[in-house]
Amino acid sequence: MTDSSRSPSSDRELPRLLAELCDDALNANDARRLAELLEANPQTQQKYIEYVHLDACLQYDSILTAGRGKPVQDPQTCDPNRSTVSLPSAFSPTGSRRSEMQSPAFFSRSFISSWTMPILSAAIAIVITATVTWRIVSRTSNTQVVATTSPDEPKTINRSTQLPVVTSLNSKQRSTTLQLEGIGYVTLDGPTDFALIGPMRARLNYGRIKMRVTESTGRGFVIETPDGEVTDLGTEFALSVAKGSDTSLIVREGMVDLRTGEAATPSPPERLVGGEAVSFNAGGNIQRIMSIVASDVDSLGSWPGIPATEPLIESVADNLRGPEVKSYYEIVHGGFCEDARAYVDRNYEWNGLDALGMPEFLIGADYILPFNNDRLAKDLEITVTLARPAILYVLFDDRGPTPQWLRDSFVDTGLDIGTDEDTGPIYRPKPRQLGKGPGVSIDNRFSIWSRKIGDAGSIVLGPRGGKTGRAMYGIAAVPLESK
Amino acid sequence: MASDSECQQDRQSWQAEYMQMFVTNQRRIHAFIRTIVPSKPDSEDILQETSITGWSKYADVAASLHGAPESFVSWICTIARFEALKHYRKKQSHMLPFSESLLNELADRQQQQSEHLELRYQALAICVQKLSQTDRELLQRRYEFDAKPQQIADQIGRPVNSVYKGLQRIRAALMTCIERVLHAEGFAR
Repeated sequence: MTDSSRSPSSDRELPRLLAELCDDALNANDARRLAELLEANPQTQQKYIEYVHLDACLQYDSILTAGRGKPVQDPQTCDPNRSTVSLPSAFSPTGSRRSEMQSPAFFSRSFISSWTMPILSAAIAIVITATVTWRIVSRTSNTQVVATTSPDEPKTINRSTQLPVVTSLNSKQRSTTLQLEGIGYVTLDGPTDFALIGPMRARLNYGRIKMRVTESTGRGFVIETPDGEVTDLGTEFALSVAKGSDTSLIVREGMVDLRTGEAATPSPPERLVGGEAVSFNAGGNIQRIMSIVASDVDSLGSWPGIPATEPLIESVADNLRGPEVKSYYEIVHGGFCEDARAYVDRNYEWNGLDALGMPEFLIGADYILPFNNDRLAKDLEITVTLARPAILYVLFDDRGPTPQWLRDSFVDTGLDIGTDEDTGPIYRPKPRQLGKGPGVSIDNRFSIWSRKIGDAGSIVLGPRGGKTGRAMYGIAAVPLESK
Repeated sequence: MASDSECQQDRQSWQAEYMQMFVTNQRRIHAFIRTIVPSKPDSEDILQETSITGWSKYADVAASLHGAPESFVSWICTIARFEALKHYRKKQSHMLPFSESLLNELADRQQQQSEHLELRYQALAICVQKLSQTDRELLQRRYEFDAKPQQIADQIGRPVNSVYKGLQRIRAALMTCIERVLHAEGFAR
């Protein structure tokens, strides 16, 4: 008997049938043929499942909007705020109003618009309202906030309608954090001129802010600046506006769209993803920020032109990335410690190998978060500029051969350090999770190499070399005079 | 014995938990339904019905699921499977001519490889970033704006056949890329 489901013609037929199925172009005869192929062959079933699963996943906008690329304009409306739909009240934290969101394609078609979800949501709203009563007390109706945190002026809060509801305000000595209902958090750092000007829009005229959108309804929130506007697409990012210089944007997680120029006539959007940083101006000039400085891992980050106290590592640059790349190195002054983040593009941490902890001389060192993805770059050159004499350390993965440049100019201290690695960008059946403190969930061992640098200036480090499966080296420095 | 207010609190607690779990895992639930019932409108109807049925049953199983996402997905997909069968029986004439045994086979196969499919989703997120701007725009038109190939052809001034072929080519490229990513990360099947 001939098995028509495994014939060469079926190998050609299946992709066509699957494509037609996903493009709503399958006629009755083809549908019967597809069923026949699936009934007869488990391998065909597997291909079918994987193909339709791909099609289903593509329906979710987060997949298509992840990463770089200019979004295409909605052909139906030509409105950048397309597919705005009302969500059931359960999706807003207090359940007290309907929230607006930039809708995923899926939501916009049927799920939310049907009658069922609001019924479920009404019940949930009661629950959630009860749990947030303490926050509701702190607000009245819809609230417009104009927060001016200049040391000379008191904070002022004016109210009008159609603006985000501020559900809490947490003011510290140097920063103020606003919690915006259905959106997330905005932290104003130091003297800042910041105003909420619309339901999904704010303006930063001066100062530094960090925004973290925690609610799906907050996606699409726009912050205007004098140099352009930033649209959040689900993320954490920081903005700095200073008189007389370009505006700086650092995307810590997720992604944003940047449009330079005045709000009335903005440029086409440029998409930035986590780990990218740029400065930009109203004339449309966008420059990569090669490295940023963080006074500690959780801080807003220091901005170009605002030096931290007595930095040892002044800057870092590489020879790989052209002007089209916006990724940044991160320099952490005095920040090397247990559980210090190791790379800008991985959730890995430095830790001592056992309970004794990491070598004492490294604690409090300046260090650089490089890109782990550079571990295979054959022609990589990293230039580290030091402000004064230092001992420069390279933390090198023990799983591969040591490159010549390292052996020639550095000395192996004989001491090791470890990394604690979180699951990477790929889902793993047994995910690795970060532990806390030294000697906990150490995944890989690195040798500590050192070199005395007698003068301020630049040092060039070479490629990591070797094959895949090994990590990029780490870089740290301590002042020479202290050792 | 628990007081009325304690019962009310428990009820409120699991209702909120259910909603959060459902919304968080909606993509996976919907993808599961789509493979059994490829029609997009039908699969969305079934998603609705699944959410309602799950809502009515969650209180009985919440404790045994321990708040674990994988357990929740497994449980809700079982509900989705029965909802799909119910839906299929009602609307058979409008749907693919799949037998119930085939639907069950597809559902079994998919539930057994829930983690593998999640891996593929993670890999897809990487592969989409590797597409050219043109290809990504074509996908956006098709998926984000839900335009039919004919509408896309009208919008971009290309023959509809080339749109079909373009979409087929991009999806094939993504399938290949997913295999490569999984292989590179040590998840080859």
